[in-house]
Amino acid sequence: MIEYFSKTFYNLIVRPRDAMEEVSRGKPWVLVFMIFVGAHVSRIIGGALSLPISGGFGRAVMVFGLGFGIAAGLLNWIVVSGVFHLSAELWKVKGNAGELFMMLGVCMAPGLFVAPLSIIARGMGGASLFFYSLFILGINVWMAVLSIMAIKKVYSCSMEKALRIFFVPLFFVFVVSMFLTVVIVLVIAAV
Amino acid sequence: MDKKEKIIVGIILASCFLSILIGVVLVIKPSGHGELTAGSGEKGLLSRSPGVAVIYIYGPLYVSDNDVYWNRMMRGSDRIVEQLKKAENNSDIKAVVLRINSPGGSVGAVQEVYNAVKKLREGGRKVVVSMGDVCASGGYYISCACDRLVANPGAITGSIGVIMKVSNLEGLFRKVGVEIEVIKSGKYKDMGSVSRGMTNEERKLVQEVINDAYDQFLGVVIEGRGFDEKKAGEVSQGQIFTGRQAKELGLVDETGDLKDSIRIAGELAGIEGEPRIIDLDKPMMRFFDFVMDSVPTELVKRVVNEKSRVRLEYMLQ
Repeated sequence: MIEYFSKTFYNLIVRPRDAMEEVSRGKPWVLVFMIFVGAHVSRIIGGALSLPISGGFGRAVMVFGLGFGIAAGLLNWIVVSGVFHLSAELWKVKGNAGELFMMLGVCMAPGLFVAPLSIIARGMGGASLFFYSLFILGINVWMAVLSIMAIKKVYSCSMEKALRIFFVPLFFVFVVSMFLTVVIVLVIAAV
Repeated sequence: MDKKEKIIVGIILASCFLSILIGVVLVIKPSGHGELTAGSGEKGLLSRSPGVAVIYIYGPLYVSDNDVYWNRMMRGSDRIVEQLKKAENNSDIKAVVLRINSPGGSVGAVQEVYNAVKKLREGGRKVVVSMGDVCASGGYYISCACDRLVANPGAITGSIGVIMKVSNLEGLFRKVGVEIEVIKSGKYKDMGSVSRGMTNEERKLVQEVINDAYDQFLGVVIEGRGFDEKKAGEVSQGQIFTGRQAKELGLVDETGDLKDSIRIAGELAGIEGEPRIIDLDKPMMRFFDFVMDSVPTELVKRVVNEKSRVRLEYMLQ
């Protein structure tokens, strides 16, 4: 089992296409949940490291962040899987929603690197926030690429369709959040 | 999977795990500076060693029904008294440092906090004041209840006195054609109304009230600082002093910062070494405090805008 996990994890970093095949065939739910929990813990610790907090307050933020962050991450995972599946249905491609859910869980693996990179960024002194943002951007791009590959695999569609399935909901969310931001700013200005 | 690949996976996973552990340590370890975790004597979550609590009195102090729970600048006297009570009930807390950065406040609010500090001392706790930028008037009134007064050499203190301001907009109202009809039960009921000036008789009455509140303040200074009436009267004409001047006059005991005050509080309480800091703010409160740091103060002020009202104040002008 450890051999299988190690191989899948290694492939995910070096040969993601092969890793997708293995995950699709083997359905390693335990590995998927380990990646999900590990990536979120790493992200939360990394995020806390980027903030000017410490001591008892840091402890409180961390406990709150771990409890809330993992619960929110699980909810986000379910919602994102549902939204991408809906998007795929709209683009008239067929696939298994459960398999997509599992694949997207595997795609969170780059999140494991947030904590080590945050420590590196913290060591950059004054430029730590810049480097932290840069690392987070890189990890998110990596996760996006893996997610697109997962969508392509699950729905056996072209790269163009996979990109559409991935980006159209994101664009929609972007537009809605921009609208909400403008509304919130206007409300605050009116207070 | 060959041996080399296994080693790579092992190194990656081990470094991730190690980073998480290091990250946890870095986030929860005390900073050694800053107000929330001042002092490196802070121990773990389950530590039961005796410690010093720091209670913040920031901004003007009022008995307020619309204070902002998460913002230190906007806490009313009820919140401060609540924290003093909490310190009284916590057997781990052997001393309290009152970090005051306030020009004073309403007489009622100041006296409530003063009484709560005295009660805390009666319970065997040592109380030390740390004066930040300003600890004047009502802020100084509260300080007089404490065991030791520590001020930054450049902190503004003093301003011992009482003030009440009443606007007279009679001329303006006449100019814009506004006439206010007053129906009252007694001849003094609309005393202090903005629609007319005070009569001599009313002014005399208000002066008596001010004098009484001033006498109370003077009594507190005499009791707290051990001055005779003459000396107390000399330093209580409303004048302000720097921390250094105040020390020369005996209005404060030492010059120093928050860390010095914590150290002194620890010494007075008989705590060996650097005292553990016990934060009485709930974690959620500190979380909001942290978030609200990024909100413009003007916005917060607007949210909790005090309605204009006539009241007696121990306030630096």
